[in-house]
Amino acid sequence: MDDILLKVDDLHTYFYTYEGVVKAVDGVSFDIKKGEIFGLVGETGCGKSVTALSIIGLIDEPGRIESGKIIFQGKNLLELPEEEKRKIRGKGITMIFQEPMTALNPVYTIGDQILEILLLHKYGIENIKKAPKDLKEKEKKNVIEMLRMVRMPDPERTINSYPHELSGGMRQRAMIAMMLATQPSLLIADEPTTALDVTVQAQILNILLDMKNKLGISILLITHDLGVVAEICDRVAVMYAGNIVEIGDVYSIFKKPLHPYTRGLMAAIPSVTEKKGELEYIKGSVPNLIYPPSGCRFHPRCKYAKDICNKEKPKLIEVEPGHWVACHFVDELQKGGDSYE
Amino acid sequence: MKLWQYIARRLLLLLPVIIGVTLITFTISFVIPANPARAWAGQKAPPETVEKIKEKYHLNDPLYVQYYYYITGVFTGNWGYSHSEKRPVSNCLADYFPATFELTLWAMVIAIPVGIYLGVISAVKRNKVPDHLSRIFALSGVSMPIFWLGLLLILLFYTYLGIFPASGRGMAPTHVYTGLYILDSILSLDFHAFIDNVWHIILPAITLSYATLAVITRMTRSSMLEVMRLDYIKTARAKGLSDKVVIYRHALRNALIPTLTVSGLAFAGLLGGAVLTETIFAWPGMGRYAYQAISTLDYPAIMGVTLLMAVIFVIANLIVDILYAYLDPRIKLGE
Amino acid sequence: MGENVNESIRVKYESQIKEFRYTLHLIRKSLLTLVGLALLIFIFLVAIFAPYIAPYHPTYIGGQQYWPYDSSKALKPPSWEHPFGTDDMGHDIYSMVIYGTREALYVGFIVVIVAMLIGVLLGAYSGYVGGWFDEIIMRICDMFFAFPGLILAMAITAALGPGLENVMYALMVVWWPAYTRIVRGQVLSVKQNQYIEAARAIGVSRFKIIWKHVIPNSLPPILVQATMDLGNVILTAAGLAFLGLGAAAYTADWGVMVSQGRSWLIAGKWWWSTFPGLAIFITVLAFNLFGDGLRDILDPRLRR
Repeated sequence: MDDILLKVDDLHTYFYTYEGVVKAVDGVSFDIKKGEIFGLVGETGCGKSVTALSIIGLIDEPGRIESGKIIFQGKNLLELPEEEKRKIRGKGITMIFQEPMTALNPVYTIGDQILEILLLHKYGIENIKKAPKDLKEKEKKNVIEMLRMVRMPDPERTINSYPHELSGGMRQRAMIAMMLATQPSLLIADEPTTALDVTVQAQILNILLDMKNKLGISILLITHDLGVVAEICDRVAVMYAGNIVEIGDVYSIFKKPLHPYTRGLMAAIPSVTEKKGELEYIKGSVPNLIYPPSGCRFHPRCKYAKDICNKEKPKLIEVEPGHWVACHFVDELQKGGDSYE
Repeated sequence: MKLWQYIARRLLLLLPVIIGVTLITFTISFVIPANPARAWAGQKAPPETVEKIKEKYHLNDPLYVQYYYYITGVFTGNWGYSHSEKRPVSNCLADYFPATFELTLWAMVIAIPVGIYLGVISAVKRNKVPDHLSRIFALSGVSMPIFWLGLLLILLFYTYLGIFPASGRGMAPTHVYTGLYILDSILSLDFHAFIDNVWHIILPAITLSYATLAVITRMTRSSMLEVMRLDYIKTARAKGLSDKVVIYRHALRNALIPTLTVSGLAFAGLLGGAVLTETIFAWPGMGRYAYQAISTLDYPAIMGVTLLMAVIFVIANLIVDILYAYLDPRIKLGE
Repeated sequence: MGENVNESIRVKYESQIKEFRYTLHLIRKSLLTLVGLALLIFIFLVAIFAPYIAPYHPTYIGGQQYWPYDSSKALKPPSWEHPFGTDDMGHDIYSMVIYGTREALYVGFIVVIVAMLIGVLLGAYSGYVGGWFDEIIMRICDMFFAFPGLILAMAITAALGPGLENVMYALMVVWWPAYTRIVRGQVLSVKQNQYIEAARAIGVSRFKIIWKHVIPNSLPPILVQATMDLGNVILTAAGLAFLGLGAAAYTADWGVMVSQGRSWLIAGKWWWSTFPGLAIFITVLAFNLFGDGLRDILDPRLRR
């Protein structure tokens, strides 16, 4: 399987808190192919950010990756020593975060912060103050080039600016430039547009698409916004309460959602074209991840729930090529209608 | 708003603050029950002399007139007459200031680096043994009476171990340029004076530094804990930087800013502590002079020391504010 | 019917009960806070039961404190008879340290309570009224903040004259501005929030709104500040006593005792200064331990 860039295999990440053990990610598996934008979508608290942090290795106390495998470039990231992990972090896999306002260090210039990651992974220099001047000058050109690629207005001035002098959209562009400067294979984008205005959102998404096309990178796009998914994702995984319930290409997921939860999500989107009576919603609320429901985690809210759903956790089954669902009644769902009733 | 404008504005604000300070010292002097004219004239002087003195020093004039003379006196260097030293207060303060400055300087040289280092360790190894030890150490520092600590150190290092001297500054170097003996002894290549001065300053400097060190440790710790939770630390780690670089170049650089502000305020503790420390170690500075003034009811001297220390404190905070603006680009370039 | 009432009461207060239980859990979890609390209780008990614990007792003649002495037993080191030794007139230091607890707590609480009252009332009114009154009060506070605490207290006490009362007055004057600032800040932030709703509120109830919100919101920082200040006031008072400002010699005042014992300490007779100093240290430490823990517990951001 040469076109698979990242393989997540049965990942379990738990948080040991005062109130109990939060099983944030409880058996998650998926693949990301080379050169694709893979969306990971779900409600707040479903474990998508934790999955992302587990991949890049930034899970801190009281969290711990319990078990599973994350295969990247032929190695299991979870078995690597910290030093090896750090070589991949920032070079093979990079990550941008939700809040551009706070994700950049306020006391250093944009240029310095981008320079830092370049000097680190190209020359192994950690302290940019101690770097030789000519090296910095040489790389500065690359920094400007990178900023130009993310369509930053006036890159020469930006490199000498501080984060607070830039708008939210510009900061996010700077983040993207920074995290793509080392030409990684995989960029993880954790809700990159959630904190931005709608118009800026569209610009950022276009930049991401542009980067994928120009640099051939893969992007793991984490979001709760189905609109974003529809815009730029190639394939999508739907997550619920720490588990993946459905994986497929964007078309299939939107046109023919199979899992009851996915169907509920799709039905809940207000339609501009159709005029329905009331807005649809999924009954019930997101479960407590310290005491998750037994068996299928969605069963308390599921219309089709039967006894088996309480006892056994359904596995992801490939019902059509490239379309996976985790439900005991996949066949019935396939044959069933489009609406969630 | 550029840095220069910021500095200029703060400097201009300095004046009203100092005037405010003189208002308070003036008000306090009014509460003094003793009759200053009588004190200056002496107990045996006839009433006419006392009356003459009252006239000369405007003691019969209304309040605002007296304040006018007071504040013009302050700005022209006439700070009253110190009868415990039989010379003007301003002279005494000028003589004693360098000694206090030197002591305070070395106390800070100890307190700042050690405090920051302990604070960082404490934050990074949160809730583990180094953190607990450091916190107990810091907590003791803000709870311990300085004078008690000084006495204990004297008991241990002088009375029992006989290593360090218990009082005084040591011999003056051959050439006194700045009034800071340690610096002067280096400049005049006076080796004996250098050793003697260092030996004499160790115990008082440690005593004086402890409380401030503790405050800095605590502030650095809490500041670091706050900063390390922020997103840009995640970003820094996502770049693949080692923990050491993340802690020092990213976290500390930001955490230091509020710590700096607190250090400015903690400077008050240094000034107050100087009075107690100098008294114990018979260090010939403003603090010991204040103690002498208290014992002899030398009110002009007491007010003089109070006023001067307030002014020093205000200037110290001004410097801190300027440094703060320099370190935080958000202030430097205006938000 | 009764069950429904109980049920609704339980549901209504459920979140508050949960908060309270969580607070208790935090207190229990923080060992240092408990140690501080335990120490404080111990110190209080010593103060209350001083006449029963101490082997010797002072007498009061004309408002002055006098201790039984025995010149033949002057400057004796700690022994079974005199656990903390004796001073240069043969007084029992152990008893004096125990009685000193009373004075220390007395000074601490009175100063802090008065300073708090002045500060809170002034701050609340100043913040509420605004305008030039507020400006003046803030400038006055700034003027006070320009002085190092000990220095200002020293100047005021020296001006007022000897005696413990004057020390207390001086400390009250030095300490009130801090509370004014805290409360005023709270009032201002509530004022900002409530202006949106003030459109709906009538003039009178606006005042009530501020009252209803200012007190619960200011309570945590004021409590923490007061606890720390109790320790600091005792420390400063001891410092002043050490400098000769405060209670008379041979009184059960920790600072005075350390000061008197100073000249003998260099000669090796260490107990006169050491034990009262230790008492100061432990007392202030107790307040700081508890205050620290209180601050961590009450800080809404550090919870959970």
